[in-house]
Amino acid sequence: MIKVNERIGVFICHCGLNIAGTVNVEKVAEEISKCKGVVHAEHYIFMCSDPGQEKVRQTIKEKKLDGVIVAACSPDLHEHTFRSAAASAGLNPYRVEIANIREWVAWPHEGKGEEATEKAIKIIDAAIEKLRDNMALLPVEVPVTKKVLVIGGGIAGIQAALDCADAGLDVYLVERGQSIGGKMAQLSETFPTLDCPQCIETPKMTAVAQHPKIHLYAYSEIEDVNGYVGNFKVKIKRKPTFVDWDKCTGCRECMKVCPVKVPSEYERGIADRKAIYISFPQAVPNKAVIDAENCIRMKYGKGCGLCAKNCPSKAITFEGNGSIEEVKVGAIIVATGFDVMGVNSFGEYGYGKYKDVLDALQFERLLAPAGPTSGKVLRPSDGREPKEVVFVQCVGSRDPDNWHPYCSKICCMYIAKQAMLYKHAVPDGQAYVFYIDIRADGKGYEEFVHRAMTEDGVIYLRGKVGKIVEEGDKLRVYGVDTLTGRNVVIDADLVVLATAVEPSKGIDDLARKLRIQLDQDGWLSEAHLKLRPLESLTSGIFIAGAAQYIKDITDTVSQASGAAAKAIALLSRDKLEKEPIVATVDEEVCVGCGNCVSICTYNAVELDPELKVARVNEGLCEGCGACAATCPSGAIQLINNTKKQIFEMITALTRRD
Amino acid sequence: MRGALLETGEETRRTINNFLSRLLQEKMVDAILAPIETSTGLVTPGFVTNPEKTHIIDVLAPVIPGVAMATVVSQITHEKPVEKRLGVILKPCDIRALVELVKFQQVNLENIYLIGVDCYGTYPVIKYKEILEKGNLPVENVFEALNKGGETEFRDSCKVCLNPVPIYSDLCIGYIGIEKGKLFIEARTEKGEEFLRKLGFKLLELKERNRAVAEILRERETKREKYFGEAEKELNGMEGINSFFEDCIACHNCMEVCPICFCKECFFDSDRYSYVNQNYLEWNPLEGTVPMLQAKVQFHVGRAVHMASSCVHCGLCEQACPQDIALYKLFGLIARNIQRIFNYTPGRSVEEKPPVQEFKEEELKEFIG
Amino acid sequence: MEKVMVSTDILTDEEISRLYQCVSCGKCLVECPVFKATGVTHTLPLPKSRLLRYIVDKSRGKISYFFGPQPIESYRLNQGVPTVYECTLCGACTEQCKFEVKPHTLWYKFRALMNMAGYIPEPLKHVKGGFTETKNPYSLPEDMRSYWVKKEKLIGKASVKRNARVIYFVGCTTAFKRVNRGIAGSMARILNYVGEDWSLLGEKEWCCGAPWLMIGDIERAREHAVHNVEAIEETGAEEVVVTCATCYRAIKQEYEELIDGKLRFKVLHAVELIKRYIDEGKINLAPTDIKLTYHDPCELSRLSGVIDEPRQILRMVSGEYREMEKNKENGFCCGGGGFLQATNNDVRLKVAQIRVNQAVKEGAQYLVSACPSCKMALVDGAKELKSDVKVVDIVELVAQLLGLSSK
Repeated sequence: MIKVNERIGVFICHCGLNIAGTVNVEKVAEEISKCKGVVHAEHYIFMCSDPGQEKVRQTIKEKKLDGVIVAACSPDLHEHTFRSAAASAGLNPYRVEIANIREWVAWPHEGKGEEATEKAIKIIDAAIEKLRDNMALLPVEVPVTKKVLVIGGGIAGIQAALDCADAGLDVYLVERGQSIGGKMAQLSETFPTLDCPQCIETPKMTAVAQHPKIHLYAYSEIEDVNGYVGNFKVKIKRKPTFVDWDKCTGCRECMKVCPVKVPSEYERGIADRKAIYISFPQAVPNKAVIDAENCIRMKYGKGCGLCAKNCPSKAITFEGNGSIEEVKVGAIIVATGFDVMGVNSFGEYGYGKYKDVLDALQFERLLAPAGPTSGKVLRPSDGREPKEVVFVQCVGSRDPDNWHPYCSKICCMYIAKQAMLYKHAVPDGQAYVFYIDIRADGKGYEEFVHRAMTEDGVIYLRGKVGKIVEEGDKLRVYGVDTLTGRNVVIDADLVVLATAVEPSKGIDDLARKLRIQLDQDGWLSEAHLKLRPLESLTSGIFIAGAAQYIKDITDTVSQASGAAAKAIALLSRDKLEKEPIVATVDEEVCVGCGNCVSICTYNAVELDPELKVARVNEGLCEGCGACAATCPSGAIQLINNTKKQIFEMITALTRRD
Repeated sequence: MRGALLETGEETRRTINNFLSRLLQEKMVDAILAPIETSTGLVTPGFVTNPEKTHIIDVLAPVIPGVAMATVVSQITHEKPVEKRLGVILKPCDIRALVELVKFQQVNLENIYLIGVDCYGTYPVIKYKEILEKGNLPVENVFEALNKGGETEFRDSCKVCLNPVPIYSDLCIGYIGIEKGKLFIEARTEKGEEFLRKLGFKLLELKERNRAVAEILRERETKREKYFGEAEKELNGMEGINSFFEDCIACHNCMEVCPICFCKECFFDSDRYSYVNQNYLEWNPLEGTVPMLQAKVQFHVGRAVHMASSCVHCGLCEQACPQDIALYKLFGLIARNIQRIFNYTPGRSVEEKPPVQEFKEEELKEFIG
Repeated sequence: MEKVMVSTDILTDEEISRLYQCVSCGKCLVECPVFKATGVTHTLPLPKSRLLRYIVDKSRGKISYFFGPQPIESYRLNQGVPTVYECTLCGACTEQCKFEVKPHTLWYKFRALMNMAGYIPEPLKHVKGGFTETKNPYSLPEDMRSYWVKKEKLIGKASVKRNARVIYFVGCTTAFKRVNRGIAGSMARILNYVGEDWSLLGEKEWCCGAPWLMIGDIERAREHAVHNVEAIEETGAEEVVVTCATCYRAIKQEYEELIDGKLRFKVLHAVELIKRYIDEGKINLAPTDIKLTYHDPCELSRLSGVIDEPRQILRMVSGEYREMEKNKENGFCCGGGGFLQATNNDVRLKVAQIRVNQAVKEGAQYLVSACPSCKMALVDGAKELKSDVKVVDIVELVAQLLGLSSK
């Protein structure tokens, strides 16, 4: 770049008293005006305001500025604002630099006015040095594939898929189980309306199956993800079903004759399924799969085969019909849901050895009208109706020392519901709930819990349960009631534990493939908890539902539609603009060592096999600069953040005493 | 490890060269890259393709003249792998450097067969020239040098070297732990075994070799601890470093000979470090003076940051310094400490990624907690 | 990436073997004057040798053994231009080398290689045309070669004769450069003073050809050598005296190889001749008390071994003779060699300033040298430093002391 008659304008913001209260902005303006190339230096109360931005625009035009520094708050907040202002006045937006004198100077050094002022001057000086070598850049344009991938076929995934498909986008919905529906399909009734979940979910499930724009990949997993926002390439692995789904009609004759019984995942172990199965009556797709680990024919290569003999459509092949398909999408929505901890983890409650200590999801299956007991509440051990049922909340939640520090959010409501439903099923039974707090913060939730207490006579005891011990055919529950200060011992017939929820198993593998982040508990990280809860930190990948953090169905459906809206907005354009701050390689200096290739999290650098130099894919590069830091010769550098610029900034920061 | 035991009598060099001739004769390799004797008695890397001409090879010469053999191999194979089969003779540190360079895409080992040689140590090249001029030729048999107390004149990095026997090669010409008058050609890989079998050798195991090596290592480990302990004291703080580099003229020769420094243009040779007047006026001196060669400490520290995790402790940096600065003291110390922290031994395996190319989630716990 | 094939035929097998004899001991780096002046590493001897080895490896060395001759990336050759040409060819590297590599001789051949490949500094590209035509590196009209005769008021006293015993080969830098006229004039006067049977070559004198070697054109240098030798032999001269150290070394050491024959005359530098006249009693120098020091021209002292004669003369001239810290074979270059004035005058001035400072350090009033290039460089250096050290050629000094100056 030929620098002829540099004309830099510097605008120093007071930010009300945020900056001006500590930094002497007048002095700063005076000192900065002496810097080489600075033809304009002023200070103003709120640069981000309309008049403030207008100042920038006007000065650019009047004084023919070729560079602008705005000394104000963090660039995170207003870099975009000032770049747009400059662009509208005809100055390339990348000739604008922000000097952070609020978060870096005024706020940490409150009360130290003199030193803060000096520091502000140094920081602005350094920004000017960086600006001198900034190149004028044009955004990188990438084309867009107007298709969406939804990972997870629970209510979140279903809703998101329907919204996107209704907006005219093709949707690939990938679910690893045999059927979509998720946890909602396992519930008995939903709080607070006590709706039948299968009744309200199945219309949506069939809508998914029938929607012309939705391509359902059930019994499938994500194998590999490559690419970048607008241009993802995804490999979907269809797991082998050993049944030809083009022929299978879902008549379930095979299930009738199969001799093998395996604890059913859908029934959560309360009942069994067969080695060939369809998860539940309303399953979508209504197609059978063979569990090869338990099927006799699949395990030994011969024998049995009764299902195939009885299949009227001759659909059962026993042949490995797995495949990998590659699809191209522009956006991805991750809706992988959650898991519930089993009772086996809790030693104080019997390690799962007590047949009548259940987790809440198992109890749902007992309560479910279409469940293994047809809605009758019966003890798993002897099939008798329990007359004393104890519900324990917060098992494994809110417990940073032993288990999870977080609150599992939905348990207070579902325990109230389960206690109520138990009372409806066994009117002469007694339900006890041990709780620490009651969290009933939704619409109609407080009233619902109140109803359980007053109308259904559920006894709420504020206290924890120390342990449960088998006493004959009863379960002796040792608890405490902190409101009266007394120990409570209940000989229960059945105990239901509200075990903690956890992110779905396998989420860390998937997150690695997608290159999105998880927080320390394994929930998907959002870009900003308050303002951007539906976007992951990776462009083009959105998150929805319990995978982001456990939530009830209302919130899940809201988030799903929100994520869908984001995907629709992203893909509404034909081209996407990417920040042009990317890495470039000086091929004469590059020796092809591959350090940058190894270090790049975005797989944006490759080695040209012939010339043995590194090449950057500008579409994939996110401008993080890790490659520039790792290159020993300085061959790969970040545009507008070159080593020379950084050295000049250091010089500027250290040359004033 | 299995290998072939050869009778050498007094003719160690000739026995080795005959063996190499046979490799060429039997067309197991098309060329051998080895240290070749020059008219002045020194050695220099060269090719031999004619089995009648192997008498000029001198693998035992206790000197590394200039650049490492690993560097020579990288010059040849950097752009493309060789299509003819090449046997390369390398000292143990050389082989480690070669392995490291493979990890940095600088060497392609296709069609290359590595023949390691045991190494008790080497003389500094200028000292070696003096010895040659005085007429004492230790070149023929390295044992002679040892018998004459030559070991005390070996380079510092050799005196504390824990790698007298190569750890990665197809074949190894071994004499450590082998009785006098014999030579043990070890086969380290399947290819090596194939070579020996084709040449009609019977293969056997020699356990006393391991014992001999273990003893040398014990002795050297104590020396090494002492050496680096003293180095740590000397190189204490900025004062220590500045006085260490007082005589440095920033010629960058240490970087040029280092086998791990593979950059085409060293960052410290780039424009950033040119003597532009303006730089000097603007750099704010902390004590009112700006030493003219202030880039020299930056250069050394920067170079250490770039290569220390892969440093193979060959000590060529020290040999190449025209101002006789004991560079191995500093670089060996930094390298040893860094390699300990990352539990990384350069040259141990081609598959093991160097720390600069890898990220482990659980790493550096003692520093970042 | 652009690549070109480069021929290395210009290097003999012996030179290549010397090139690869280098053991990277680094001793050559310590005394390089250009490095001391600029701190830039890529003009150091080892980077030169590294680049030359790379070119040889690819064209006919170890890389070509496996892949056939390979082309060289042109950016390396472009970067190679300052590497090879920003060098005074002073030979300090050779002096330090203990492994008989004789690097500076390789740098001459490297220039020939670069020139043939078409990679030489821009200024030298401009020099070539005029040099070819005018037979002098300053591209000045040939008839200006004798201009000094008129300016030194020696018309009739410094002439071209058909036959003479001694030929005074003036040399371009002495003849064409204003600052050096005095050297020619002084030499002529001294020769007349002792009654020597001497002649100039006049317009038959072409540049000695060394600058062609510095550019890298051996053929042109050969043309000049053949021509000059013919011109000298026509006069039947026994001896040729020169006032320029470069002419001295070129004629004495390079000509026989260039003409592929023997020289039928002896070559002397002015200091050798003057010393002889002193020994023969033809010149008597009265001692003075001026403080002086002597700068050894690289081509005369380190590269040709003429070290004692000038000192003997100067010790006669003054009792206040002192040596600079870098002297004799370890003399520090003035910066004037290798055609550096055309390639990068800034570097030349920096080197010269270092040398002048060394003289100033000894408290010298007079800085005496024995070569017009050295005189020019030191004069320029002293001017940059605003030093009042007087730079004078030994021939001028002797002439002045004999009262023979033109003034």
